Amino acid sequence: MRRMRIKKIIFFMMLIFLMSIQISCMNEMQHMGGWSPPIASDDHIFISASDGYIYRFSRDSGYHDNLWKFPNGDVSLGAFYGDMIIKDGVLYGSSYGDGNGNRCQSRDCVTNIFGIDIISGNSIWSESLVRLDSTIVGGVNIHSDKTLIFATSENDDQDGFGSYIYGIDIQSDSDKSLKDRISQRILWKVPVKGKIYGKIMIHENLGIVGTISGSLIAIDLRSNEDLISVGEKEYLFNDPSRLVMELDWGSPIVSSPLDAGEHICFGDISGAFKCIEKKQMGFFNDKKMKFESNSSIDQGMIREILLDGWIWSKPVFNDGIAYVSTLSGNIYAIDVNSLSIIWETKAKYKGKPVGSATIFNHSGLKSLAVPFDKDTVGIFDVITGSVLGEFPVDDGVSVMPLVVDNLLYVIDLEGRVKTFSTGDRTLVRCFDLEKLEGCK
Amino acid sequence: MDIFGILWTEIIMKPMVNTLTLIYTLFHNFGFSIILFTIIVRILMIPLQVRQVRQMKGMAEIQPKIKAIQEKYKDKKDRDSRQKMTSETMALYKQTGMNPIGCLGPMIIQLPIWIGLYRAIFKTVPPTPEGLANLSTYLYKWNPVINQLPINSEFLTMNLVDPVQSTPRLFMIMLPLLVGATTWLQQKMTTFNSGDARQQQTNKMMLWMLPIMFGFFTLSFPAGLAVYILFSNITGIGIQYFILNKMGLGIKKDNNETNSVIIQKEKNSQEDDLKDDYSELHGQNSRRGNKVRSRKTRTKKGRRRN
Repeated sequence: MRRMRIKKIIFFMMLIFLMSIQISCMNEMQHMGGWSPPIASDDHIFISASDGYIYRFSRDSGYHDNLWKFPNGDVSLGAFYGDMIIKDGVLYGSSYGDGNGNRCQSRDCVTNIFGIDIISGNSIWSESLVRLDSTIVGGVNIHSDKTLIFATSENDDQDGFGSYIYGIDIQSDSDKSLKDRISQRILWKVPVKGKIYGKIMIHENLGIVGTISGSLIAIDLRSNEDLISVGEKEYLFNDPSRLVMELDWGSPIVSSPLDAGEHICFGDISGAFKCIEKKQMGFFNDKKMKFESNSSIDQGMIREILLDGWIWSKPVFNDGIAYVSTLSGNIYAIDVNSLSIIWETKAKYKGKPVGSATIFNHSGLKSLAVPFDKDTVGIFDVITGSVLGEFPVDDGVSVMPLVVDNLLYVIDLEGRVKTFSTGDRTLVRCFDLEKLEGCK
Repeated sequence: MDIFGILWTEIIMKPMVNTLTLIYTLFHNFGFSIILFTIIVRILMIPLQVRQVRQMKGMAEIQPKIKAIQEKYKDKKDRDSRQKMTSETMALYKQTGMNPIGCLGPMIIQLPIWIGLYRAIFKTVPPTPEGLANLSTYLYKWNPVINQLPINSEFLTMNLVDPVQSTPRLFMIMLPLLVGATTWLQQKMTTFNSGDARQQQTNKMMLWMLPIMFGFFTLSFPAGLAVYILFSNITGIGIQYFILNKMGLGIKKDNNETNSVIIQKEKNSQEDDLKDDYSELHGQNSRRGNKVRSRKTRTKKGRRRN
């Protein structure tokens, strides 16, 4: 009898074991999102929510506009990761899900690229969304007011490894002739060896980004019309020769490159923070040279400093100083010209600073707001690095806070938009994006 | 993080994730790393498995004696008889050095290691950006794999991150079948025949239910996890074979037809032995009881004198 009971216990232990694996499989394989920071237009704040929709808030009153929502149907956009961008009254961005309005699992994902009229809330394209069988983590950027640039983190040509960098025509259909409307919206794509998690930085006609295989790459963003006008050879649709620079550094680069005055800086997950002079990028652009290892590069052009922890989020640049946070919770202020550490602070907060930091002014003093994914938003003095306090968000924040009109907007991991006064750090408003109602 | 979470991360997860990734840095093949790592962990757990087999074998061997005790008190439902039956059973356990839940102990110790193993696989090849960011929590700073992330999860034309049901058809069919078959074989090897009809029925049910469950659940697991379970089973079977045959812990297999007769014979002879043992034990107990009684009487007398 007793032995039978033991057998049953073993059986149920096995059953619980299998079910716990099943549940953790579902959790670990699901792309949760919630990394896309809020963005402001002249009159509104746009927020991507965990339910897969984008909501609009008034900048003046702070109220949620319940008549504005994108998409306006039952099928949501899935999970949001990258930065959105507003250009000429249109909100561009990307998300990905399973294609049916749910979050996707593992590698079975469909990306949605959208362009939304910020007044009407409707897509500016007749096809509503541009869809690709892939994922976009770093968000979108715009080149020459006409091409939307982004990188996917999958590449079908290379058995799922690597990425494509895409150029998409952003013109709305109303501006185009009927013939042009029918033509492909995707203008070109460039195959890249490593996956790309960062946002592409645009410097003149170059798109610069780091890859997880450890390369810093630059691609020529010019359209074929631009090339013809200067008498240069056109690119093919899927043309690897658009890749004009490839510097192989070994350690994976996740964070987006930083436009730091005369320099372009970036960090990798080994903790190396590197800066290149912009004029050297011009050299690469002119010569169209491809470097496969850093041994062939003049080491004087590229300088680096080693920090403690993975550099994941995009650093912040202000007055010649780059503020870098690492996943181990260290915050650094680095002089970009000398590449020396001005101060470093080990934050006492729980979790990792996955989202980028924000610099804000209050009473003429500048401070750094750093979000921690299992804690709160810490405030650091930009001069000394000392902790000045916090914006109390108990449930963790994984997006960069937005500061407009002396108010700081954050979205916590429970899907609540919290608005704080940057002056006295008090909570001004709270809105629950899941219940679409106010909260405390 | 609570203390359990910290201990889990520091003692189980970090060493496992780092060992797994270090193996990857040597061979640059994650499938092979999973297999090698699983074999290493299973080999390290051999002492626990030996203990578990010893307990299970011992329990199977004393089953006829337990059955005899139960038979002896079958018609006696009074409290006194129940107590006697329990004390006789406990005395038997003590005499043979067996613990009724002894086989659970090693299993409970092994369970966190199994859970840690599969979670380490998940953490090492995360399919999501969040997972990659979380990996920073587990990797030691000196681990050279940092420069090789993300880990190449391709293995034998399948991606180890994909659910088994999304892998090429050959793997989609073969992996659940192989996992089920090896689970069955392992289960079969650890089931000791005790001669109890009800227990045999339970064993039979378990023998089929567990493999079916594992095979079915495997379909929705990532392929890397299925590879882990498969090779954990294969290594387990090898170790079990070694324990049973080379270390002499196996029970000699009987022919099915003669099995019940032998068991019946064994039962009869063991019942006779037991009667002698128990009368002896009972004698000891009653002598001990007399001693206690006389001690009590002496105390009472002492109190009265006072």
